[in-house]
Amino acid sequence: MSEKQKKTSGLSRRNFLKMCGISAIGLAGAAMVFKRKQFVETVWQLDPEKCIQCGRCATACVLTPSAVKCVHCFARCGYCDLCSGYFVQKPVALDTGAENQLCPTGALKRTFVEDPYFQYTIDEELCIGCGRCVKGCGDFGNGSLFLQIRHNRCKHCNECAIAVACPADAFKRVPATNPYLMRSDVTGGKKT
Amino acid sequence: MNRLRKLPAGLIMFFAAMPLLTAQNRFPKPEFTSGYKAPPLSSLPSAATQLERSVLPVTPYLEYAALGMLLIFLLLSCYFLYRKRSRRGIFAMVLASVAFFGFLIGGCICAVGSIQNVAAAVFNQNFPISPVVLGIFMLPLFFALFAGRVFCGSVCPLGTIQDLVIFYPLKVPPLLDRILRILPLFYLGAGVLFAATGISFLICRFDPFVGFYRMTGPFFMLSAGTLLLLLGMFVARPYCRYLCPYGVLLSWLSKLSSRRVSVTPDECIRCRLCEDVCPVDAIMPPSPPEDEREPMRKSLHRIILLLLLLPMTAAASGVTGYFLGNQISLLHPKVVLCRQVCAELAAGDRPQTDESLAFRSAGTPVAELQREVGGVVSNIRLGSCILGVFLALAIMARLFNFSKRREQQDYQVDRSICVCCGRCYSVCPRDKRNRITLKEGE
Repeated sequence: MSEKQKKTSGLSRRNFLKMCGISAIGLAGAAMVFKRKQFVETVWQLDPEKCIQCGRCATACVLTPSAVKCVHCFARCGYCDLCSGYFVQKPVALDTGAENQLCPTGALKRTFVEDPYFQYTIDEELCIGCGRCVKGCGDFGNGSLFLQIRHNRCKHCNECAIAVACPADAFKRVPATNPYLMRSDVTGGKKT
Repeated sequence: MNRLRKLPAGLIMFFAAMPLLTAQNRFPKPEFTSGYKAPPLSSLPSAATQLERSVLPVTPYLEYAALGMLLIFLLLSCYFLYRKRSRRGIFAMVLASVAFFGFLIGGCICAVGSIQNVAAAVFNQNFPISPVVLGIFMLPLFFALFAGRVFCGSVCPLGTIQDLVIFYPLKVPPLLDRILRILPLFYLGAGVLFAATGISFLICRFDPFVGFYRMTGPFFMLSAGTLLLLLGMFVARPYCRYLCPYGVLLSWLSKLSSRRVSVTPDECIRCRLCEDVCPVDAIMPPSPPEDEREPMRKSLHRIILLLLLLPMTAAASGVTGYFLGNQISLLHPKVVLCRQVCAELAAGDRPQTDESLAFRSAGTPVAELQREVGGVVSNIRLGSCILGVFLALAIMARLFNFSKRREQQDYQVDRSICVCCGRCYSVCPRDKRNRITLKEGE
């Protein structure tokens, strides 16, 4: 019955409305594609220049431990014996004793290179992304430590829980082709 | 392919840029005499190749895979639902969807949440949206135009997890059901308003089931999810029916679909089994005979009354929305920051919160923040005014639909409510009898 009706009327109300629906969806999609400059795959990343090391990266992430980790730019490091990212402010001794370390989990490792230089590396399995070393290094040292979302851990939530919690508005969606953000002075004035 | 090639290139540039830094170090880089060479950027104890691999974001590929799988899942669901008429096939799809879209993909990105990405991208030119997100948003809508809400039944990771826990679905009283089904309209409106004005992604933040898929999450959301699943044992798919904002869009479009779940393959014997088994109360009974129905005049009067009330309700609701906008804008992080900073400055205090500390150390002038906040607040007011009008119209349309006289012969599904789970197929005696006679015939 309904089949016949459709055939005789040519364009039923339903089909007409449906065509409208399809063209609306299609047009909306096409308009967005053509208008848009930023039509790319994105991932979350935090801008180290905006970061104030509040420590919320360690607690706000849906993952425990957080997907935010400290990374070390060796090219910027001074290899200091008294590293302000490694040691608390008035250390008892300049050694690896836990009471002297700033890192709550002992993720920042100190190895001797040559007198008087030490190399500092991060054990990402231990790092919780609290940013205490970043703060220490940035306040009194070269600022070679900084926080970044590690994409091998990140769950890529549509709304990043840390981005919501971040007081400095440092989290943003960046193109997946260029998924890490460096401080502009580190990259020679250019923004990556 | 182009994208594939770009990825390592970006990384190489990233590492190559590093030696450029020289100046303004407090402690200059030492001249090593022992031939020490610095390891690459990170300190992962691994070879460079491994490092590069671990550094790359995996999502783009996973997301493209998700989009492809979404298409395959939708097509397969249509096949099982309309060609095979198989509840078993649908059930297999449900399990597969929980496994793939849920536990493997981890819940994000899903079509429900993508509403906000699309809304944010439409109203904010600088919001980056990816082709995958757009695809994930549009594909189920497109299918709804032709085949109804197949997405809800066996593809959506939020719907399928609830489908699995349905244990003893009770009938929700029709009036309560109709009232509760207004909630998704509000949720959709609020979700779009919040995303478009940059307050937050409301729908993602209060996603009750994503915590299960990630197997971690805030306590509040995990407990809300557990409660919803417990409720879902007796009131089938509570999130889908009474909250899901994407379901609103799907139900609008599915009203136009050419295919619907037809309970019985041939003649309806009015046994009411399908009505009982339908978990979402989507199966409508045949309309009663003419002499038992309310007179035509009465429903006509009601419709005329509704039409007369329409402009007034819309205007009132729009005005209410406009004034509620002030309250809503207090949820915007920029507005909160501005109020905090202004209060501190007025009292001559030092920064009290991390937010104001970050703002003050960034050195942005307060006037600029105030100007930005002014724009944000007026946007929110306008948005919530439009939202008010929209809600009034949508609710009136619902009432209009209820007042309309319905002509239907047999037990038929309401396409806008049916989530295409296929349970009615398995109970219809005509369906079974057909199979039996076929066997006897052999």
